[in-house]
Amino acid sequence: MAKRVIDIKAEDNKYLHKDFHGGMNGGLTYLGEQYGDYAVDEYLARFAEVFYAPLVEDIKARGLVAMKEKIDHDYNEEEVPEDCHTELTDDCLTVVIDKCPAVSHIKSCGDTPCKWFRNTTSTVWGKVASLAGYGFTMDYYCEDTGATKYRFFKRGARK
Amino acid sequence: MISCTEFIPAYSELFKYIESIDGYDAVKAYWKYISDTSTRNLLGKLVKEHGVEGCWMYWSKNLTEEACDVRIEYDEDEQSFFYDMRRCPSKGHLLDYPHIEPYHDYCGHCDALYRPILEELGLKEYHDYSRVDEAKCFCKYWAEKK
Repeated sequence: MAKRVIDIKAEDNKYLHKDFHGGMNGGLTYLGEQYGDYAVDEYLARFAEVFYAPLVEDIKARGLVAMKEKIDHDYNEEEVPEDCHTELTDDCLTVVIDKCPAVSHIKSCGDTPCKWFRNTTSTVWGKVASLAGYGFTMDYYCEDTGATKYRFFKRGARK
Repeated sequence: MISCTEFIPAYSELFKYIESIDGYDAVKAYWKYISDTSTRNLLGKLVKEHGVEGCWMYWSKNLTEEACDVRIEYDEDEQSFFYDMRRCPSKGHLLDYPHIEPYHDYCGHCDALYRPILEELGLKEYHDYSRVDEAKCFCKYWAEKK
């Protein structure tokens, strides 16, 4: 066949381009190597503040259920809901990730997540929590799989 | 994890951040870095191996996964490839977020990432970026007949 044609509309395909995880990894690597650790955190905090401003307002209005919905939504979009476990109580949202789809994809492409990749969770959600008036802590993070446990909590409720 | 569905605003904010701390030339240096590493390894490798068909192989996958509104054509006889982007999902998403101001030269990264590698491999290029503010663009690559 002399000519090949694809003519597609946006709604014909799901918007899920996992190679973008590699783009994120590359961006953080470049930023960290060129400008240092501080730049990575400052950039991610600025991104969180700008992009997640509506989420912050939602958390302020509805509490941590808004954050739970956001996390559940993201892992559904990434098509790995089974790897995401969220538990919400009056004071705390606990998130356990068995395996990070971003880390899995980056490794499946033969790359290695950079040392700052965990900051896409710790810095970003830490900033969102702070802006919404909540505390945040990451209990563990596995560099190999991206498995992690982190919590959002009402300030004063956690010792 | 930032979902891959939210990478584009993160990318736009990264350009803004780099410019804020080190100027526009630093953003262009970052694009050159991506071009020299990632683009060369993916698109560059395909074109080196398959010629213009490599463009088809690269963009037919990416533009589908990115849920573009686009027409792409590869003409084997003419050894030409083009995409006519009716709505770029990247720029389109940025325009759709009411609380986000896209980086002022967001679409500049496409030209910076792809054209240098493809020209280096001997392809000719034509583009029309006059409507990127509407998330539309046109780009054609071809090999000159010997």
